[in-house]
Amino acid sequence: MKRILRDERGMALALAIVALVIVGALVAGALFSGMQEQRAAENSRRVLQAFGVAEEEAYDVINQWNTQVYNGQKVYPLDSTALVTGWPTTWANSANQTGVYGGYVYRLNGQQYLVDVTARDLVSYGNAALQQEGGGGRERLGLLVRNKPFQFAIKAALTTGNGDAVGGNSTISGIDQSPTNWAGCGPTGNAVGGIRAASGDVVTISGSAHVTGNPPVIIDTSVHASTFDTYYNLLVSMANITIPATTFATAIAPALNASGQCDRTVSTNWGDPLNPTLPCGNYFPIIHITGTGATTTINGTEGQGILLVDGTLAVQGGFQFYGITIVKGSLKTAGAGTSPAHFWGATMVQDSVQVGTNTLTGSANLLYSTCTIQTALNRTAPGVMMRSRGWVPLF
Amino acid sequence: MPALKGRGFTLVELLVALVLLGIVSTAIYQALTANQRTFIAQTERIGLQQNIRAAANILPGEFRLLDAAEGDISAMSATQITMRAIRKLGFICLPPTLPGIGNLAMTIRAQPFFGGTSTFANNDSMLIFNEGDPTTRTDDSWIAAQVKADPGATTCPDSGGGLPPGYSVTIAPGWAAGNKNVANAITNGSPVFSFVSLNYGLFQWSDGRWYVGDSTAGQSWIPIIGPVTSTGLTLTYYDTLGVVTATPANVASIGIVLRAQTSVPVRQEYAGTTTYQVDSVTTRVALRNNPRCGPPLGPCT
Repeated sequence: MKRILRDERGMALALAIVALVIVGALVAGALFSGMQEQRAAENSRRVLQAFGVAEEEAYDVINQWNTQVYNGQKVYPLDSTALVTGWPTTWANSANQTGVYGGYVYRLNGQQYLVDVTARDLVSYGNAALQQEGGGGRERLGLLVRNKPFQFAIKAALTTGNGDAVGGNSTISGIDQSPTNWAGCGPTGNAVGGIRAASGDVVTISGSAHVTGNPPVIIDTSVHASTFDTYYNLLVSMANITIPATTFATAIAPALNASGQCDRTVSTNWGDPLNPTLPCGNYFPIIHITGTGATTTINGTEGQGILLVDGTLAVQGGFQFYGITIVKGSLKTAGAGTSPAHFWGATMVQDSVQVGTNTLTGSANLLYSTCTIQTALNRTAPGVMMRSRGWVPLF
Repeated sequence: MPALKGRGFTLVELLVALVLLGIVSTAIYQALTANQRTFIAQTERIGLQQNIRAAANILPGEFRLLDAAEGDISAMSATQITMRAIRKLGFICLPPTLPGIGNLAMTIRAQPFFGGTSTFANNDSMLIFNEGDPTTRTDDSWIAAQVKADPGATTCPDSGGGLPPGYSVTIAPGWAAGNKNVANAITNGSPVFSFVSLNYGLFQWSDGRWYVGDSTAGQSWIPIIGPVTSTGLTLTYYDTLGVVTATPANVASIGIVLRAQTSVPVRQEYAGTTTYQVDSVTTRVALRNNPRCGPPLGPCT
């Protein structure tokens, strides 16, 4: 027994244990800091991944700009459009499958928007344990967007590429007017011409017809086919409604679905300019009526936006259209019932025009209105980044 | 005596014990120092990589926001850049009345507001969006201005949206060529940035080491990345064609090369001496906010 105890008096074991503890602590420390470093590096990579997703999806919003949704929403703080259904609790996979994203589009005013996108990397999004450890990348990015309205050189209430016969009680006015039932139009601008016709065209005014403007009639050598064609095909490609030429009678009118919302699937629903506060008051479609050489006849009741007609347009009765009308064929109007005008905004007709024939009476008016022109252009304009400083991280 | 005789150590035993103790102690010491060196080297390497990562985050993050064509870069060299650094973003809910002379008043929304504080502050430098003609973005510009007083709490006169909180801000605009001081040229809802004028560059600090830091006019450098080597930062400026340019307004992207080094010398594996370890990162950042159209790029169709 004594001999055994004597053998345990050495310090080799104690020294070895101390050394092992110290070495172990150093190794553990190095391992810990190494792991921390690895995590930090992983997070940096994920943040970059999230940044890429946010930037990609923000640009995608612009590339696939939904004019009817984004341009039609109310100004902040009254409205916003979620980029992902169910956002902010639901995320959507990014196009390149490297992350998830969500966000909103806010309308800041008549022309400007904020695209607010938040993105995360895919690994941490699907890994609850990683999220609990605080791992994962998340980035929020904003793009300041503004409308890029088509730049129509509108210099008259009616621009024509052929001769015009204005008669009856019709009025064509180049004096800027705002529809009385439209709020927020602001002050009116300078008067433009009443009729602007191509060189060599004859404009005849007879009966009780009135053509006013500054000047009432312009014979303009700069009116060419390009005056009407410049944006025509592009607008056609963006059309929300494409229908063949026919006789619509009074079918053109706002339509609501079962839940009381504006039914944009109805091809004869061209918005509700007479009731801007009702559900279809915000709907400004681009309407394309096909059929070169065919005639479209409309009697009522109303529409707004941009109207493109491949053939001839015959407007009778009380039909009213607010915005821009481009007719590749000819235009014939007759009567107007009790409505103040057939066309508010600007009308461009490439072929021969007969406005308010001598045999018809009524008030077939074409009134120049910058408010309706600008509203129609803004509501149908694609979104683009601001000319400069449109890119901003949101933090 | 016989009992004492049995308890002692012989000289040989002592010598053997001492030799063994020496061998074991030396082994332990070497193991410990090797471990310590590894630990220090690893810690230094981690610090180095964190420096590199910081460089890869901070500088590109600032450079992306630049609009060089509209004066955001006031001076630039291979080791230093003087620039506007965007700090806050807010939105107007009551625009100033234009045309106007002298100081103008406007209201900024309390929400949304980005940039860490509740709103702008007295003496903040600002850039206010100048819409001009709303039918085109060709004439869109930014008005430089300065906040002239502490903003006061007020409300935004939103139609149909209640009266959300806002801040009344008095500004002194610096009208420049291209800015429009006409009615409705600054629209409700327009964005407003604040910025600070900053230098980012390579400098030698009081400890004799080199750092990448920032400074404002008249103030000393503040290190944000480092230590780096004496050639630790190289900035190269490219135009839209990818050609190196010396004209600040033509910069479309910036190349960054950063060479960081460890804070203390580290012994390399199998090397007898210690040296500073160096690592580098190379990246190139496209300036996101340069004009996309308008003079001289062409019309904003």
